[in-house]
Amino acid sequence: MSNEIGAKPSSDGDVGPVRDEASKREGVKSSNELTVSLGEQRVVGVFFVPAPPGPTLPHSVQDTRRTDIVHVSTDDLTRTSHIRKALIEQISAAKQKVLFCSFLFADDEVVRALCDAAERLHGGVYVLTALGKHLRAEVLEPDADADANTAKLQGRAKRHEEHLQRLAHAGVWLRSAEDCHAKFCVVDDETAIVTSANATQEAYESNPEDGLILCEPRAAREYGRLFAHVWQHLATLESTPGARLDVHSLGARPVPSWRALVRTDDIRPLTTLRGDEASLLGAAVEVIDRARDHLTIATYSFMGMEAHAIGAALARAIARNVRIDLLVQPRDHIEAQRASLAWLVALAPDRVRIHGHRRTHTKSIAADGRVVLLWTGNLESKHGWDNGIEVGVIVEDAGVASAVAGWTGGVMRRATHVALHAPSARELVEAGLPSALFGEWTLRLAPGTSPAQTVNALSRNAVELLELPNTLVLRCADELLLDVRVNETSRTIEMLRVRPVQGLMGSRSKGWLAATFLRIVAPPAAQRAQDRAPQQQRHEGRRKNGRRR
Amino acid sequence: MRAPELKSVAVSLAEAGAPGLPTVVLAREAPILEVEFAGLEFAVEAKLPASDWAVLALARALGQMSPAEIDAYLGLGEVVSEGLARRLVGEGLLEEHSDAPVLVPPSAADSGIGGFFRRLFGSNAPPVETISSSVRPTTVARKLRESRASTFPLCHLSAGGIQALERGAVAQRRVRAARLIFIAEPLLFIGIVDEKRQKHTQHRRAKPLEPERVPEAFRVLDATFALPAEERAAACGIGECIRGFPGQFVGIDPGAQWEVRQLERRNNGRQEQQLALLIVAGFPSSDADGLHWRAYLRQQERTQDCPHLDAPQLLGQNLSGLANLLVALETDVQLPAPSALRGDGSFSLRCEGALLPSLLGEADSPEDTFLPALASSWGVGIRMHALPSSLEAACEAFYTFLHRREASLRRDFDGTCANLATSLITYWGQDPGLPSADQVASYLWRRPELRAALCMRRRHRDLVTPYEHGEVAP
Repeated sequence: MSNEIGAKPSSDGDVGPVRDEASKREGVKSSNELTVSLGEQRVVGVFFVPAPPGPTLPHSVQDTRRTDIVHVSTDDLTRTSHIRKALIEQISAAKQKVLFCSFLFADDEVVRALCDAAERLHGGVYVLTALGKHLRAEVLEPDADADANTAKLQGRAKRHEEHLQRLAHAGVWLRSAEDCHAKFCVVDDETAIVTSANATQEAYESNPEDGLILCEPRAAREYGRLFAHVWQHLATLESTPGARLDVHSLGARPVPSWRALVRTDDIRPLTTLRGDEASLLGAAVEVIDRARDHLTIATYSFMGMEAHAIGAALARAIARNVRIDLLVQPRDHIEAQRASLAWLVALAPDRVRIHGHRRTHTKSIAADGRVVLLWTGNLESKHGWDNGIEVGVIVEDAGVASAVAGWTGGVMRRATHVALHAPSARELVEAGLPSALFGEWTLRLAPGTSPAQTVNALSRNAVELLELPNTLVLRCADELLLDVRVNETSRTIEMLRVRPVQGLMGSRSKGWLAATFLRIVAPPAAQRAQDRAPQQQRHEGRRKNGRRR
Repeated sequence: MRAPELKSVAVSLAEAGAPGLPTVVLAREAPILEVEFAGLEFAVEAKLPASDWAVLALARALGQMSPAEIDAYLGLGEVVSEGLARRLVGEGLLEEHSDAPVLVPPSAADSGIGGFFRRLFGSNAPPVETISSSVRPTTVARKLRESRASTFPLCHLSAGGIQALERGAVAQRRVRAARLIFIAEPLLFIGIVDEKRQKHTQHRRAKPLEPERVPEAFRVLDATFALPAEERAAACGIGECIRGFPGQFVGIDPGAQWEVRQLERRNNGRQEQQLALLIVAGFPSSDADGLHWRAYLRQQERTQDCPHLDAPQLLGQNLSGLANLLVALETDVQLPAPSALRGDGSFSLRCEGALLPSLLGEADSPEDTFLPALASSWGVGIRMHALPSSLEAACEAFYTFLHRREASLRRDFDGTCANLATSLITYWGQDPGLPSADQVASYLWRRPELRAALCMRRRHRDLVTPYEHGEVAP
């Protein structure tokens, strides 16, 4: 992988007006014209590219060798949902009550099972989910999938709403607690299922997800106690059972002090319960610290770990020569994740392997096949460790830990993406990503744009051409985004305006500028002055002349 | 008329002074008609001036007198005495004395002040002592002087003069245009149209009814109004006075005309006839008939007592007796026998589950209701005290009432069930064996709108009790 950053001077060799470090890699034809060669600039951090096609590995059911703890997962290859099947079996067998927590409800079969249970038990089915304003915040949050778009999110929200209607009508009591991302189900205080999967068809059929069925009444009761505490005291919205969904606020009420979850033998229920309990964080650090040889880690996202207690534990593990395999969803558009992954790889490039799966959503940490943490949050510093509501479980059992690690390893072997460390645009194209704007092009800057700063940004970053519904965008990392119009005939790129970084929702990559020679033309000085607003010109005049008092 | 409306009508009787809920209530709608009179005659009292009193008293003392005698006895002077005599004759307090009867056309007699007093006093007018010229009553009055004033006209006290003298006040005639509101059958005065509030409708008023459409009672209003006050009140509801007009009502100004219109109002963009509700209510009584009847009129949510209406007469013989009434009623329900009449004025009626809840009212607790029926032109309501004919019927009523207490069920399901059961058992005077709260919960699950209450009942059992020792009190 080359570290060389390509830029060549213009033919006359005149450095021109650009005086910063980057300007040394540029040439100037005239006072208004600069050139930049693109292709060798590097993407910051770890970047994922599609994995080369290989043999399709079948989904394998992992045996924990225990009857009281069963590993369940989604077989995304055959779209077989072991998680859903287990949930429905447990719910259908309920004799007293069902406690179900999932911020999304978009799966027909689970909803039907819950409705049937409520009808059969004449109530006794309690659900924590996203209602009302919580629904808007959670269900409609941007999806990491590059194909995410408004229609998909709205469709999911609509299904969620329809299912809530059905649940309410069937006699299910719905409540919603802000920032509750926990996903678990407790039946009769006898069985608990902790899973990474939300109650959606995608989670049960398409996404790599897994979970543990805990047929241990003391552990199940602890999860039941947690559910009851959130449902009774922390929920702020509800819809009581009735003819229709009727979401309303719950009044303020006293919250009893929380007593931390209690472990039972080798099962340790865990939670992040806002400020009241953070046993998940301690457990994650503990599991990592206990690793002597190998950590199998799965997370949907990996961000902000550099200065986090878990990051510190990972660094300690690497310092102990522990090998790390990390499964993560390849969300290249998020710089924070690229940076965090790069930090981890940099700790020990030969012992850290990153695997990308475009749909993975599973979350677990298994140490040496001896102990495993399975939880509902992610390796993100800002969410789920000391705020929000998440659940998890540590099982100190080789059979269970091996089952989880084995299944995660299987997903890693079926990885859809390969991680590259700081690849250049050319390397990305060579790895299979599309290229764009090949050859020589002229970039005409918009009035008011600084040619020096533009050249500087282009010279230092790998450049990608993005497509938005009404425009094309040249993206130089998050440093500079330009709305442009491309004229293939004249091979001219006309800059329209500078775009804020936040304005890329729904964008699609047209390709990387891997072999592009850009001639940058600034607008004539006179035009620049004319194009400025008279008000702006007056201000500049004042600046020159000093401020009058 | 539906049961709730009948109940509403029956309850409204209390505001009109009814002693309690009636046993039977009959109601029928009657069109409201407006009668516009060109002139109604009223008598307004004014204080009798001292000079007038003195002249009238002299006339009573002398039997007959002339201006010369007024001057001679009272010393008022020739001119004043003659003027007083003429004015008092003009005002009808004195009458000119004539040996020969004077033939006056009837119309002139009616329109004059004398006619006014005749209409005012009618047959109650005090007898006027006829004094012959040859016989004068003795008096201790002495002439002050001899007068040279005129000896004509020779006058004596009129009926009005006698009244004025006795009361120290004189009745003055006032004629006013008026718009009165009635129902026609029976003729009953309802009120007056407030002209001040109706000015904007002057140009929109309905056309007067053609003569052939004018109800019979309105064709003879002049005769009806001419009746003595007590008889007039019985005939049309107008007694001594008409509310809104000062003075004593005398009748229609002779010769004045009146027009009859239907009263209309706009409702949802359409003109519709205004109606009043004529109500005849039968209250429990110790009479052999078992009921005491009274009439009321309900208009615009106000009910007023109409004591001057003969309620039994309004009903007719077929309906005014309880036994006859029960036979004459048309209803879907088998009516109870007169012997089922309870002491509180309601009828005991045992019924099945399909009927029982509706006969226990629409409130939160059971109460007497009025069973709708028909009798000729009347809508009839009979007050029922409904009892369950079976356990199933009792349960049906129980569940129906529980359904109405959703908020209470949410707060305290078991307590609400117990309270309602007590309420029903008390009302029925018997315990038919109502279901327990658990049985109720199981049964009511089929009603989605009650599921919140049912789930709230079990929430404590599901989410509190199992974990109680794990929570620390706030």
